[in-house]
Amino acid sequence: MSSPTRRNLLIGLATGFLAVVATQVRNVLPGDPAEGHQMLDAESIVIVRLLAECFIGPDHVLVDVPLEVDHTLAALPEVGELWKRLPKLIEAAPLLEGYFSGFTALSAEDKEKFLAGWAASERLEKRQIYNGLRALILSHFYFQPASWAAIQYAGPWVGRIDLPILSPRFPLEVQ
Amino acid sequence: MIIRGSSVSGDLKLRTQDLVIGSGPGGSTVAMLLAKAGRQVIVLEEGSFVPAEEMTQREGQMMGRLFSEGGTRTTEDKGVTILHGQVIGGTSVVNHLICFRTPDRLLELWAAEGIDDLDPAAMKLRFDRIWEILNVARIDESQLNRNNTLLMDGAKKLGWKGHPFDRNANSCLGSGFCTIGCAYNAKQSAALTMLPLAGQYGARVHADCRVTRILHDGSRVTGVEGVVLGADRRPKAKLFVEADRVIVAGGAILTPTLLLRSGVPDESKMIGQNLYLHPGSPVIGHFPGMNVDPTVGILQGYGISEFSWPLNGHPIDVLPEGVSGPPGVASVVVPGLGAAHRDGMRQINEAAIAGVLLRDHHPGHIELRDDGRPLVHYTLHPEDAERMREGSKKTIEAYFAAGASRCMTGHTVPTEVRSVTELNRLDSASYAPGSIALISYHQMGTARMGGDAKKHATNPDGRLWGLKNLYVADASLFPTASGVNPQISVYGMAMRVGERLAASS
Ligand SMILES: Cc1cc2nc3c(=O)[nH]c(=O)nc-3n(C[C@H](O)[C@H](O)[C@H](O)COP(=O)(O)OP(=O)(O)OC[C@H]3O[C@@H](n4cnc5c(N)ncnc54)[C@H](O)[C@@H]3O)c2cc1C
Ligand code: SF4
Repeated sequence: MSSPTRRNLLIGLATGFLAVVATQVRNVLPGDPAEGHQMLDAESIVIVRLLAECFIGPDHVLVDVPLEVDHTLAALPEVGELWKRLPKLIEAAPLLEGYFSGFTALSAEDKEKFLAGWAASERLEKRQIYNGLRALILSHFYFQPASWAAIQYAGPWVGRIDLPILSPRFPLEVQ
Repeated sequence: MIIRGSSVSGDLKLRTQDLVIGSGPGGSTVAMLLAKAGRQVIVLEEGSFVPAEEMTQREGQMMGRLFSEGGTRTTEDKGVTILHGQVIGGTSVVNHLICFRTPDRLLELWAAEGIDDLDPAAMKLRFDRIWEILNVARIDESQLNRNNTLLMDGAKKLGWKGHPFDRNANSCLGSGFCTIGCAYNAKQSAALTMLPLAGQYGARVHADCRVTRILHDGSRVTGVEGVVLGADRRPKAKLFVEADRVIVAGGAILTPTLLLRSGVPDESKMIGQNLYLHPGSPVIGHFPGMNVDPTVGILQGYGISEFSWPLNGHPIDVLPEGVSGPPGVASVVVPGLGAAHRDGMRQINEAAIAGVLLRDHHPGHIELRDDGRPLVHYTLHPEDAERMREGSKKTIEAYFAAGASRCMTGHTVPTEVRSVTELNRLDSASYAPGSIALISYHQMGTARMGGDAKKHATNPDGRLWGLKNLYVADASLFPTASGVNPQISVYGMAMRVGERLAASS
């Protein structure tokens, strides 16, 4: 290949890459909430679902993790506004780290490699986002009864074991 | 009498002699003593009243109802998760019932800050009274669940000091749901003890009332303003209370936040400083084939006191305690992702979990965000991190002595140790923020008490040095981290403040 052609190709690739990155960066801004959701847009829902698959494994399908996360973010307006941006950030990030696609299009192996890279990263922000998303997704999966059989967790006693509520030692008047 | 936000219609305008902000151990104790002394007392609490009947034992439902910001608060560097309650009764409603009288070593250390009447003999009288009100009793070894006996067995084999805890319970059933509220009224939280007593003496407790600002003229406080919260936790009405004296007991994160937001005078510049988070970090021991089932039983029942400075004069200054929680909480503590995490969760019934509680020597601080919420600056200091590492190693040693096949720490990059000879694997493990799970159950120190207006935010009466009638009565008063679970120290310090307030009225 002649050098101008190679240069053109490189410029073309670089321009294409930058265009993809620019699109991704624009997409970092959250869109309107998807139907039945109050915070997450349709794209973020897909990203959260794929993150759940990475963190939890195939069992993630037992719980609608994005919906559960959405409920929590909606109930915490101050923190929810910040958190709802994270899925899109994750989608854009692999492109900036030498992968050739956004998070959703990575192979299962690359998704795990990418996340493990963030867990071990020297950069504080990456560890922060990794830990934050991990905690949010794992806890919202294991909050739900559908996840409990696999870990042999019997669940709340309330509704299962009939036990009396003790009378308070000091009477309490409530209005 | 507890008045729910739902029974308030329109704006709420009140007048009282003493106004207490916050209904946790600190606020409830002061309210009880002042009401008993015949003072007119109003307590304002941002959280709701949640009776036992409404404790569903479901984490997803209860975290949002019982914890400040639903349990999502972290330090600014996201390195430490900060848990504290927001409910009638404060954090005592979600706590694990461990009761430690403030150890003498600590009392001496604190008294040296210029605090009188803090000697062990004076405090004993207060602790005895608290013991009675909270129904505190030592649990028997036979009541410990496997999770706690494994830690105890290990400590005993190694000849280390340790003991089952004193707990404030009434006929505890050992359900294991303490973190998300007791559905049986067994936990003797402030909501079931100090507050009803305060009510019996005439105090009125308003739930769902958030104080946004303390009103003052630079030398005296005149009252507070705030909002009444609706069922959706959004403001539904305005709140204004005129008061002769105001006592802030919002806990060590929200007390300084309110004080800073209100622009109170503070020559010491210590309001919001001196923040100790007492971080705990998990250690997991695996006992294949054994049914440990850490989620059931008395969650936190035994501690190794050998390495504690307040309890045993040890320089590592950590207190490993057996602890666990329901699966949502446990899932965050179990390390790894994907298959490794799934396997960890599936083996959770064969795992023993301990939290290494660190008496941090290096504080952080709180500043205000633009929206008036707290921004918590705290990064584990290298010296504290080294002691946490040593404490984790000791805990692992105890598990191996008890027969563990392998142990793990809470590192983001999973760190596994298969025998004591491999303990040096922890030497290279990072304690930088986000590299290790750190959870703060105990926050303290942000309006520290002492005898010097230039060094301490509050004087030995608990009064802000700069204002004639504004007091603090919660964990913010602690001059240093406590090194033991702090609720009884909070009750004790608040009782001391309350006695003085009652006497001076
Ligand atoms: C999960 C967990 C387990 C724990 N286990 C133990 C244990 O076993 N033993 C132990 O000793 N300690 C334990 N603790 C800690 C202990 O419960 C606390 O240290 C103690 O409750 C602190 O008391 P406090 O009065 O300072 O604050 P809190 O108990 O936090 O009470 C403060 C109250 O003030 C309210 N408030 C704050 N700001 C405002 C405002 N502006 N307007 C109105 N209301 C406001 C809050 O909503 C809150 O209800 C635990 C803590 C947690 C999170
Ligand atoms: S273990 Fe005891 S105190 Fe804790 S929730 Fe169960 S019954 Fe209540």
